[in-house]
Amino acid sequence: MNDRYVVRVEKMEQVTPTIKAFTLSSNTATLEQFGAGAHLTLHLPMGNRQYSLINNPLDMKNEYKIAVKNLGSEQGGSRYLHEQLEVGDIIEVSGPDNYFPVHLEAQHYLFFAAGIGITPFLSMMSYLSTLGKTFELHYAAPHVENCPFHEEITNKYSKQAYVYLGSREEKRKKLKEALRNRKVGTHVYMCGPKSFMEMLNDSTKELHFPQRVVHEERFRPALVIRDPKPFCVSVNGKDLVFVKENESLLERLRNEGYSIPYACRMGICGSCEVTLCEGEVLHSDSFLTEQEKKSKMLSCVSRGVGDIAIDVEQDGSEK
Amino acid sequence: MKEGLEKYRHVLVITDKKHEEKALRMQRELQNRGKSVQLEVMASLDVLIGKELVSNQPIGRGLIIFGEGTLGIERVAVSAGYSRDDIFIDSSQESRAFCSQCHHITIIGSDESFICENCLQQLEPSEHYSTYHRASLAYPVFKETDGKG
Amino acid sequence: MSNSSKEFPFPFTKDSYAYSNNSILLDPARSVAVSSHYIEEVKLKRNLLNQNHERCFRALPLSLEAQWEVLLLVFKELSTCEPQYFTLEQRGNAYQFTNHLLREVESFSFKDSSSIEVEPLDLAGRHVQEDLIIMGDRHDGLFLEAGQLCFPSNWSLTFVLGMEFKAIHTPVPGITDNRFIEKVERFITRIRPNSAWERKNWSVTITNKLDTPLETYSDWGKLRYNVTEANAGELVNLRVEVQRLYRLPVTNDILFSIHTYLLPLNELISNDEWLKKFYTNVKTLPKEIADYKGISLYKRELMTFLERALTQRKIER
Ligand code: HEM
Ligand code: FES
Ligand SMILES: [Zn+2]
Repeated sequence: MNDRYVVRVEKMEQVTPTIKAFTLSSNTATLEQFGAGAHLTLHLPMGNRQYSLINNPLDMKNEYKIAVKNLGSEQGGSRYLHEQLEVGDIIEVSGPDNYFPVHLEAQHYLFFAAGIGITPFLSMMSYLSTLGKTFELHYAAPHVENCPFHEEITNKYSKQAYVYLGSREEKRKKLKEALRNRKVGTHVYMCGPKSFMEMLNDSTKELHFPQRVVHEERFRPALVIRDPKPFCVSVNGKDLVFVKENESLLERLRNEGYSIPYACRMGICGSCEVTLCEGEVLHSDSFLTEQEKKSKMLSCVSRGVGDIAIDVEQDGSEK
Repeated sequence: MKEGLEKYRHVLVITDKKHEEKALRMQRELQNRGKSVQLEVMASLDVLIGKELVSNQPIGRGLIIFGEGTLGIERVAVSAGYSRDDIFIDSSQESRAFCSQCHHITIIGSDESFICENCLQQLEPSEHYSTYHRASLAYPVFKETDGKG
Repeated sequence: MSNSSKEFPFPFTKDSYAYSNNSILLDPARSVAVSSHYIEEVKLKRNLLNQNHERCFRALPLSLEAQWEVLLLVFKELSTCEPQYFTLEQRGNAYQFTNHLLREVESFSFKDSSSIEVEPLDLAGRHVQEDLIIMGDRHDGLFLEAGQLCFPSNWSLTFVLGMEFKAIHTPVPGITDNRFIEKVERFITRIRPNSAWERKNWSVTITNKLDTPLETYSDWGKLRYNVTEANAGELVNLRVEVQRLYRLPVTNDILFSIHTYLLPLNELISNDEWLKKFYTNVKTLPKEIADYKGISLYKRELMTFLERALTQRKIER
């Protein structure tokens, strides 16, 4: 996966009054393949922003396409993209990465989108169409003018797409209805504002959908600790260890003679896990679950805030 | 009741004629716990009929299979989109041992070493179990004469 | 120094051995490598495939998309990274792959099964030294869904087909201690698209036989009884598997490739550092791992052989 590289803005299209689509490409580099549901990270002056790729992964001609809604805020990335960017400009990106992959074992797909949440489904629908798999899109928007890709979707997927405009209550009723009487092998994918996702999640639970076939974006990207601070660690209730700002807890512990195993030193393999007994931790891994973060930390990337207490294995076995 | 069945409100039970008694008992037990049970009895387990049955089930159901040759239906159920742990097999089934030399599966009565029906190797079953084959791997046992002493 | 020694991925970094997640991120991401034994090993693979196809190739229907993805990935990688040996030309959906080392041309239409004679993964594997395994990343776990496996270290592809990652590892001693294999599985599911991780696994083989499947264990397994202090240098080979885990970007499945290297001890001991590390690692190897790797039967002979070499080369133990 590419760390950081540059692409050129080839094309910009106004999709709705507030949504623009951008085509990004490169003359010099071969852009990497991506899967349906993948996103690209844009490195903008105001920080990193992630946008779903909307082209068909099986028909990728060295270009990435994204759609961006102008959220309008003064310092916002979306406003920058809408108002500052021009065709021919160069922007720095990384990825693509995929937190929302399509599971090919599904027999039928139910997509639920609200507003700009439609974007990951554009690549999913064209991908699955190419594979000849069946899906339905249930798409809610305030009104037609504010319904990104409405025309394209209703033309291309006239049989599969259901668009819900109307009142909030009515939409909820219809979306819930769409979940009823589903057969085994159905997978649900959803993307939209929080309240929309919560409503759908509740409905899938009421209807006893196995939660493993209900998908939203899988993992949040790991938090990067920008200016690491020193912290103090009590180990196994006896030793006191001081971790400087320019070293990791893992490095310090190993230097102190604790044989903590490690591998990736990037917070993804879980090898360097230690037990958290007390204190606040800035977790910076993409491995532990939210539940696990309460009692564990990965010493290669995560850091204490002030004082913390941890337990580490004594026998040094690296199994 | 089998472990793991607690979470289902509806369960499909498929059985062959020979194991109907057992399946009925399971049905009663599940019903006593407030679950709805659809019981399907076939003369013998048939993959095509089984496929029709399992693929048309509403989402979120458990599946229990009794009888001889459950594997065929189990595999079509996985293809139809069941999670592997939504499928339960009669646990009193005879043990199957997968010959690591010729891939033949021999039905065995105990954990002791046995002779493969197909290649006649002396084999020993192990803990290595495949839910895909519903069999445990059997490794060859060297005869004394293979040794150097 | 022979080519085998020069290319040999010596696996030991410490003085004692324990199972660990010893994976490192590869930059750039690669799935295969071409060594100086390319031609003979690819020919050996093809012979094995022709003679024992059922044993060496297995695939479930669900793996087909990933198989095509692997075929193109491997051919693209070979032609980009080894352009002197391989070229790939594309016209629309039609591809032509030329293997200059073997003087062969493969023409096919992407995702058109009628354009190739074997399954896509089987075709890809006939142009590389690696064994290739596809692990499907499913909603209910990571499953072995396809494989071309010619050089396994005492395991059976047919048996593990359709099995879940953790279950595949049942025979490995202590593999569930401290949730080890569970963590490895989670690590694999978090590998990002287009990136690859590499790890080394080692074992010992008697003779320089690459194909040591479980299916023929009763033939090659008994060679373990033949090791003596006198013949160990010739007979015993350190066997290293360079394993790569590559996240396929389009299907989101995992390609697991295994490149196996063998080095006879007589060559290994000509490197003082290797000799010493190998000796200390085998010496301190926990009994259950030594049993599992099949070393226990001749460990005494092996140790005597290595100790004599250490003495001869005046290396302290
Ligand atoms: C995802 C692809 C993988 C597959 C298909 C795979 C498969 C296997 C198989 C078939 C065996 C032999 C088991 C037997 O004796 O029957 C094995 C052994 C083992 N595997 Fe894996 N494995 C994979 C990845 C990994 C990874 C990523 C790790 C660790 C980070 C790992 C750690 C081990 C260890 C420690 C052994 C014992 C090896 C020895 O002592 O010789 N495996 N694996
Ligand atoms: S070393 Fe991999 S998570 Fe810390
Ligand atoms: Zn047999």
